[in-house]
Amino acid sequence: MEETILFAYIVSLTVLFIFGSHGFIMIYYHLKYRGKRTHTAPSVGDYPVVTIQLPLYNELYVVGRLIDASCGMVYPKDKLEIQVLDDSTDQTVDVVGEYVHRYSRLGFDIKHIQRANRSGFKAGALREGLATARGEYIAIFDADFVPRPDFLLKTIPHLVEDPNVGMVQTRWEHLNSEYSLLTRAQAMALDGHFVIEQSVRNKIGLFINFNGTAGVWKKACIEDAGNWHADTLTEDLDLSYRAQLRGWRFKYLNDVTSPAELPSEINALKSQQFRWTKGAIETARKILPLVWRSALPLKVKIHATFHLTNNLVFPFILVAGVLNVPLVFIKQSGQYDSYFTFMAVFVFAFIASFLFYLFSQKDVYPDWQRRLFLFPVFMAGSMGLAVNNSRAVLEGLIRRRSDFVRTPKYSIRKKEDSWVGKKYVPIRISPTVILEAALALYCLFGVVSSLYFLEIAAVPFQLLFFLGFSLVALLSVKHAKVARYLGGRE
Amino acid sequence: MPRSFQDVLVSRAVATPWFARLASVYLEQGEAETALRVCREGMKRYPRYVTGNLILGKCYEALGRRIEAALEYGRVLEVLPDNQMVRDVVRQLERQEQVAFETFAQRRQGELGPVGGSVSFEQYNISQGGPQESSVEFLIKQLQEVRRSTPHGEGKQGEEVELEDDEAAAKIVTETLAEIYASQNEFQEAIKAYRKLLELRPEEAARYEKRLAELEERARTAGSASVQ
Repeated sequence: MEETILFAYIVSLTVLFIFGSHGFIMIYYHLKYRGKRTHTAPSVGDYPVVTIQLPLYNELYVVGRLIDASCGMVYPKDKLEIQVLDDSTDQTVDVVGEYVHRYSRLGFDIKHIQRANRSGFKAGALREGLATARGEYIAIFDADFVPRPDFLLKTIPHLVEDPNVGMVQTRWEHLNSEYSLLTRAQAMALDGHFVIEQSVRNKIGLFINFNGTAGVWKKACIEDAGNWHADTLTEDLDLSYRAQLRGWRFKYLNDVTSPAELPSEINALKSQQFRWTKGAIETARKILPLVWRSALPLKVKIHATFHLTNNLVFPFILVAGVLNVPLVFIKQSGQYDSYFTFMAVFVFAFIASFLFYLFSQKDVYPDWQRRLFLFPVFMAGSMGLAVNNSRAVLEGLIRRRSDFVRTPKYSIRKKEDSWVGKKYVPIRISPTVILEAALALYCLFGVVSSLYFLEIAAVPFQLLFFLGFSLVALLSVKHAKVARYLGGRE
Repeated sequence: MPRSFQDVLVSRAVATPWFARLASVYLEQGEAETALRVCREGMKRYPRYVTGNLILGKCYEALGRRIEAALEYGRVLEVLPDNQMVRDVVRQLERQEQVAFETFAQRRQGELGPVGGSVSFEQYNISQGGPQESSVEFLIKQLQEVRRSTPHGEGKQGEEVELEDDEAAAKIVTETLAEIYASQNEFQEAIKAYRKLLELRPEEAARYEKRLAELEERARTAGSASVQ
């Protein structure tokens, strides 16, 4: 029994160590190529026709500002088409109708495209829009985005300049990162992805991904890659890989940003995380065999594998967190002392993660030092989400089908704003909360026993796990309860 | 038939880098629309002509199109990263645009969201209107400043902003010449030659740029070696 626990623990730490090392490699490349900036593309002679696709589903609170921003883009009106791909089933339809009417009277080529059913969800909607799109280039924005007026002028030249470039992705900026601890932690996670991962991968010629929004595609590229598929939960990642496997190149622009609203409510965040995690695993299953069979350089293949599978860490984080507690007792028996030096590996993974976020914050914010105080909370939060995300990983691995659950947004930017009392707030408490709460108590027990046996080195991590699980569990219950009692649904 | 004369003039000018000078003349006469047309037409043929970007930026600014102006000046900065004047103008334009954008977003927020009115956006309201009298003059002066502040022969990347004068235009820049400079370790001269080639033959841009990058790298290492 003791050997089994020790073995499982060491396996988990090894996996975390491997992914942690990958983090170090990313940091290494980041520092190496920090000075390398993407150049500004030359101005375009003739503006090509662009279609802006706005896929949405019941987005009463944000759809207006989205359509306004899309029509507010600086671009010749006759070269701009806007498709509102509206799968809504509530009053959003009327709001969109009103906006579309208003803007078409002002001379905009704006269309309200509705479907009989939501087949294929976002992928299905994008596909349907593409069939009638007038544009040679397709810009896509989710409902929670407020694109800047110069978005097209800054992105289109890159696509025009190089016929091999199939997609340009811009960096997400956060409208409401200061709203709460939750949004600040998310901002940190996303910045890490964009500022380090996307940027490094793009600079050294690895595959990157379209983030589902705030990017522009060449229509020819989407079609050549086989169009949007609905067989994974992350149609963006899937299409990105298929396009790059066909030889298209992608460009990530770190200096061009598109502001968006982060989910301010934890159950919405959990469903978003679930979809991203599970989708990535599904895409890995679908795409990795193709990657390894292709004639790509080994480096690209290896990094692609890390890129598509890095969510696998979540079950191992969970295992490491759970086994930490019995290990304190096993250590007291004094039989396995030599193995315990191995635990330093956990610290290694932690350092990798810390540096990763340090550099990403440092690169984009002048007040990065202040922001780093958030790191322990962020770390605890990611550990706390391990239950939710491990479930996603497992479902992705056993190929359980699930629907695309969109992330509702409530147009929240300032502290005084609130999602309370708005529609769309999830009111069901998922059963994972019970597990999260139980794990919180369990880790508290772990902290106490470590203190009792004076295993001080184990305390910080157990404390983080305890904080993470209790934070996530408490917020999940609180947000759902508030939503239920203050009249979430009509 | 002044109209057709103008057309001939324009069609001749846009086939050479002289379009930028013609555009700036139109601009000085207050014909910003014509200037813009000439400039855009010329830039189709010389997409990497930095003076073109500068004049194009002036045209946009004169027409009150701040976003496009800022983007064109940004392209100038790419070649003249140290030029504080252009940098300041870009920053100023971007700031104005940012404020306009924020105002726009806040106004929307006020209309749709539960809260509003906490920010009085009127105070930010920047007129989207026509050109300011001084801005064209200011920028022309600035272009001259750019030239003056780049002493000849120092080898700073500034020469390409200069409109090609007769002498330079007459000089036939060839790749062979550029490579001779390079072989003599005259990197700055070689770089200059390639820059000119880049403008003259944009269709070869990819190859020239690669070579330019190599030369710049060598020039840098040579420079630092000589300092030590």
